[in-house]
Amino acid sequence: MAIYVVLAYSVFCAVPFGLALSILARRRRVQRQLAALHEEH
Amino acid sequence: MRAKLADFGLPVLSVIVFLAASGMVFLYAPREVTMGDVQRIFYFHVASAWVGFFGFLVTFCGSAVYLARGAHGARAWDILALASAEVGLAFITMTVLTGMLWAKPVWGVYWIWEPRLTISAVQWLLYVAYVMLRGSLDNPERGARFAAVYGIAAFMTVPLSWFAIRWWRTIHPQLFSGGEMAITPPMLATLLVSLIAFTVLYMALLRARMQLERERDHLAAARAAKE
Repeated sequence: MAIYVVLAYSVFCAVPFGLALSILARRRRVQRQLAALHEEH
Repeated sequence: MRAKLADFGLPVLSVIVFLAASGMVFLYAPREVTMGDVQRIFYFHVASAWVGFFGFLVTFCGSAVYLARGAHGARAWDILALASAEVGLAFITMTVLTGMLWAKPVWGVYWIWEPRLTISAVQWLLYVAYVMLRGSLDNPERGARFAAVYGIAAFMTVPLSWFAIRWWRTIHPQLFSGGEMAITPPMLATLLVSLIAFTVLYMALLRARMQLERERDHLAAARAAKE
C-alpha cells in the first residue's frame, strides 16, 4: 500500500519540477539566440 | 525590481507551501479507516484536478477574449491561453497518474472505463493535441485563431467531468454529496492547504511559461527586423 503513496507523491514532485526545468531550458535557448542576434548587430 | 522579486518569490513560496501541505498530508491528516494510508493520495489528487480545471478555464477565457478583440492587440490573451493550457495539462497529467495509483489498491485495477475516467482520458488527449497544435502551425495568427476556437471547445470536458459522477452511475468517489462534504474537518483543512499549494505552483509555472512566450515574440521580432 505504502508503495502507491510513495509513487503518487513522486509524481506530484516530478511533474511540476520537470515542467519548470523544461520552461527554464527553453527560455535559456531563446535568450542565447537573442543575445547572438544582438551581437551580430 | 518587482518583476525580479516575483521571479524569485513565487517559486520559493510555491516550494514552502508545497512542503507545508506535504507535512499536513503525512503528519496532521488522520488515517482513513477503510482505505488506510493510500487515502493520503486524495489531498494532492483533488487539488491538482481542481487547479488543472482552473487552468483550462483560464485558457477558455483567454481564448474567448482573443477572439472577441480580434488578432490585433490581443496577443497577451493568446499567450495567457497557451501558457495556461500547458500548465493545466501538467496538473491533469498528475491527476490521471495518481488516480491510477490510488485505484490499484482500492479497486484492484489501475483503470476502469467508467464515465469520469473516460472523460478524463478524452480531456487529457484533447489538451495534449492543443499543445502539440500550438507548436506545429506555421502561420502564427491563423494558428492562434484556430487554437482559440479549439481552447473554447475543449473546455466543455471540464463541466462534463465535474458532472459525470452526478449524472451517470459511476464508482468514482464523490467529495460533495447532497450539499455535505464526505470528510472530517482536519481532512478538509489539509485539502484546503493542498489547494493553496497547487494554486501558488500554478501561478509560478504560468508566469514562467508566459515569459517564455514573450521572449519568443521578441526573438521573432528581432529576426524580422534583421531581414
